Amino acid sequence: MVPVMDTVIFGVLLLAAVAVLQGRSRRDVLIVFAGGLVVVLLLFNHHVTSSLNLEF
Amino acid sequence: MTWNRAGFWALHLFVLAYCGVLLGGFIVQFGGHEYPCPLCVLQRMAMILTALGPAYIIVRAKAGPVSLRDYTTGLGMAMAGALAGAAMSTRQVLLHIVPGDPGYGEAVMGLHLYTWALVTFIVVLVYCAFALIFAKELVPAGVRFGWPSRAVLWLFTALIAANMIVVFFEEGFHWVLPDDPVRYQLCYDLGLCD
Repeated sequence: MVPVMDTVIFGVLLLAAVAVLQGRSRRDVLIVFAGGLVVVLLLFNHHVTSSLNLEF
Repeated sequence: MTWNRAGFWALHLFVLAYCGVLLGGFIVQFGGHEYPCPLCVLQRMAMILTALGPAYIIVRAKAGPVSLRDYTTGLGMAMAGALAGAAMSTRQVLLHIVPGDPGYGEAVMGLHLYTWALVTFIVVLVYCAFALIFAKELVPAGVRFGWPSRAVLWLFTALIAANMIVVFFEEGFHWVLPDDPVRYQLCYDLGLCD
């Protein structure tokens, strides 16, 4: 089976929501949240494949 | 104390608003037979990260008055998610900003979904700015974590699970989504579609 990034990332976000709902400690919630944010940003970086054809 | 209660219910409205946006995304996807692009899916993820902030504060109200530390932590989480989302939606707006470009997908009320997404992220940042300035007045106190809070949080969690399932159908057993998805890949990967 090939890993499926978007699906796995939604899984991490679901894990973060469950941690929030269960009232886990601030530290635990922030760890899962930061993990989710990092993987989302890495996926964003992966999809930014070309520079914009614009002049700023 | 009235303002503290208002601050508590504003957080529910925050999460509910993003639930509405995520549901709207499903309506466009299934009602309009559109396939969300990778950047669209990333913006959904950013919306979820953003809404986790107010959800965190709401849950903290279970144990009584919310501390300023937890209130600002939740708002900080929301700002981090909104900044990431704003970067993604700005990127997509700029990809289609050149005159003559039809944009990606159908417009809703004159604006494409990624432009609406940028509007929501900016609204969140403005809300968080005011909520932090008036943190002492708006931090939840004298409130009860009851069924409305529970219902909002479960709706939000159910929508995350629904997004995970839908994106799995669209992505199939592939690393990432194609730039311009045109089908639900899982059906083809499993040999159920020709």
